[in-house]
Amino acid sequence: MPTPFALFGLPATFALDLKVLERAQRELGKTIHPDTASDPSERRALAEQSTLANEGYRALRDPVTRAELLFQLAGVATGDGHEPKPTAAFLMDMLEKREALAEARTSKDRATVEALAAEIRAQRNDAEAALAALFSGVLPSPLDAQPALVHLGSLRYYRRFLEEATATLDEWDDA
Amino acid sequence: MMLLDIFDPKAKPRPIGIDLGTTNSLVAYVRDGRPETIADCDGSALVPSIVHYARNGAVIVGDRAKRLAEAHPQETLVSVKRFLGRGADDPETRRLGPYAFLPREAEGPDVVRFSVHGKAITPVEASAEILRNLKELAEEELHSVGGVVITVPAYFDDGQRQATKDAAKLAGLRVLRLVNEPTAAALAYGLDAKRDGLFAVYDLGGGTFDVTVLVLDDGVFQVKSTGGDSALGGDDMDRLLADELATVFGLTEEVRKKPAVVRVLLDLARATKHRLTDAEAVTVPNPFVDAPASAATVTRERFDVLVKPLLERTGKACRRAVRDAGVEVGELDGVILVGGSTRVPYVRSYVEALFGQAPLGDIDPDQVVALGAALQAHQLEGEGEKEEILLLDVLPLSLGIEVGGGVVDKILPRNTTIPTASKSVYTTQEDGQTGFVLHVVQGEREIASDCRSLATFTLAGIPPMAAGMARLEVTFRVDVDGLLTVEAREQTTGKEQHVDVKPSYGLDDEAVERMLLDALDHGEADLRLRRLLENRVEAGRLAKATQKAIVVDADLLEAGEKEGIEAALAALLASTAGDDASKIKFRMDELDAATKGFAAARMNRAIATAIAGKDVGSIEATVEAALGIEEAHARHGAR
Repeated sequence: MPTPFALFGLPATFALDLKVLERAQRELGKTIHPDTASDPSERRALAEQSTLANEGYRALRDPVTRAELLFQLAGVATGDGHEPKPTAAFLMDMLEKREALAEARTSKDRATVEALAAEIRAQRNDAEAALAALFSGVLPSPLDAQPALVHLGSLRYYRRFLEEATATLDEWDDA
Repeated sequence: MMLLDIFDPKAKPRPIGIDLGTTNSLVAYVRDGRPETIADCDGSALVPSIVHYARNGAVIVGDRAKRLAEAHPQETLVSVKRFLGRGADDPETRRLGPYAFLPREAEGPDVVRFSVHGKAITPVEASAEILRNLKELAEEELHSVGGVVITVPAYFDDGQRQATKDAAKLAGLRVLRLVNEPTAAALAYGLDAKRDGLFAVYDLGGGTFDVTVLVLDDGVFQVKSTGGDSALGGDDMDRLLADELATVFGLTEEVRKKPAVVRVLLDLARATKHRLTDAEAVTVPNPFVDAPASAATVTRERFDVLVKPLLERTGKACRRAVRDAGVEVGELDGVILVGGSTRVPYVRSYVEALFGQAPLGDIDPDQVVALGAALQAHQLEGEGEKEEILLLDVLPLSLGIEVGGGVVDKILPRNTTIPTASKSVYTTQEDGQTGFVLHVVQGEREIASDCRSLATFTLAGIPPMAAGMARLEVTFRVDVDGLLTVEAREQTTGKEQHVDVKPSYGLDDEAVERMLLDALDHGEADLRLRRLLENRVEAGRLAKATQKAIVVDADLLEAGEKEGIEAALAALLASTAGDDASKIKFRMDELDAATKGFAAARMNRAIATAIAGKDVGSIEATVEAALGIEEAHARHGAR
């Protein structure tokens, strides 16, 4: 089975332009969407392919799952128990920021939520840039994957944080 | 010639597209490569979605039914789409309307049932009458009807889609596909003008509101996000205006409730709304005797004030859909207006202000959806050129299952391109647990009881194992028609269950149209509650694992270590009784610290024991059991 990267004709790297990915999805859809066939068994086969392609599209869109895919290709296990634990300093920093976010949410302090989100977004961008660099050449071997795994771990925290911050801002926008 | 055509037994079946609307319905087909609607003998393509049940058993649909509505308000069903796929206690049944409803049956599905001449009529049956009427209209024109594409609001949930399909089946139609209304509209626009780019479709009909953001690129229609409210439309404007008229006329509460009065008020309101499209003010003579005022004057300004809250609800959904699409309003190449309610001048100016550009309206907003449906039917029946058009649509509402503490674990997020599938792995919470109950829900809220319940099923017969040992793999699959199937498999035993999800209408009577808005309204409370519930579940798991470990491996405890762990345990359990999520987390961290040395000692023992036994399977199992505490600790940090 081809990897999602191969499926969309994209190089197996972390740096990815989402607009390019979207265009690739449209192009692929033209050839594998079940509506392009009329024979029932052919339609079923295409439906299966489209399902895989759409799963792949979703995985590539999210930087966390995209990194996980690259690690998988490199033969590096990810997830609980396989990734280095975040440093105490990192955890403390995240804990403090989350507390600050919770406080800002309670006190309806929009400026602080935006500032916190911007700060985390910058940190996330740094982690993504670092991952892009680490994944740009040859995929890391299981032995030298530790630095990249640390960034992946950080990305998970940033993603969760930004989800909460965005949900809060959305809600205030709508009020 | 005409006669010969009609009786030609070899007439080739032609695909048709049907817009089954709240207020009006239409049927269209493709003729010489262009879509067109089919008009009735009066030359009108709009068939009022109204069904009259005569005392003698005759069923009358459309304009003739409309004329009977005033005299027979309870036997004439108007806007039946608002009740389709909803439970007997749906809030829609309590809104202003002339109908009599029957209570929910003890047996049988939980659906709305109108009481007509003492008989039960369901929305599916009434919708089928409308579809049958459209089918006959098409047969008069085309002699033989083939497959049909029926449009549904993008925001319809599984239950409402299934009900639409059931109605088509009742009407004897072969459904090629249910297509989302905004997507169908975009299809008609895109193919008509050969426009490419990023578009928003604002679709405000009689009873439903949809907004869709999509990319048009060389015949491919790629939906990026969709949102809406399946109980918001022109009918709601009519209700507000009807209330206003009743007040100005000075009708008593008692008079206002009479079905015939309600019907007259709603019809007057609708007519007034239509006249306000061109007039600045409309004076409505009071048709009711015994009412103080002889007439009521409604200005457009007053009307705008009345409907403003409704438009603000559409604005919320639009802003969110744009955000979900990951684009800025300024990037949109065009805004397409769909639905009869977009004729209201205030709607147009509101949309223009919202999107910062004048909306497109060059195709009749009443017809555009049916035209798009006809194009898609034509394509699906293989009559169009291959690869000419392709719709890549999305799931409108997130799908998930209920996990510990009543929290929803989302398996497929909203706006996922269909067809799609996703897997998730779950484990047991209790020692010796031999079955899983899977509760499938749809919606955006974090708590399962606030989402629409689609199905509940059980995977039983799993041998008893320690908590956290079983591995249940759940697969959600949404096919190209948007229908969900669920598979569950226990990995260590291979036990399987496969379920086609037939929505359990109204198991949760919270209406789907409210779900998303509620999610927005309660977002903050949700997040707090979710964190609290998650922490409680996590703390419970951690406490249980720890309690078990200090008994099983008591000999590994250093002097004084046990007392430290027990104190931390007691503090943790006490914290779970409170409502403070961060306090629970703090106590978990404390317990984490207190068990650090003990956990390492257990791990060493597990590995040593396993190696001594030389049983690879049990090495893994034992190590995993010993990892219980570790994993639980790591888990509440990173997720």
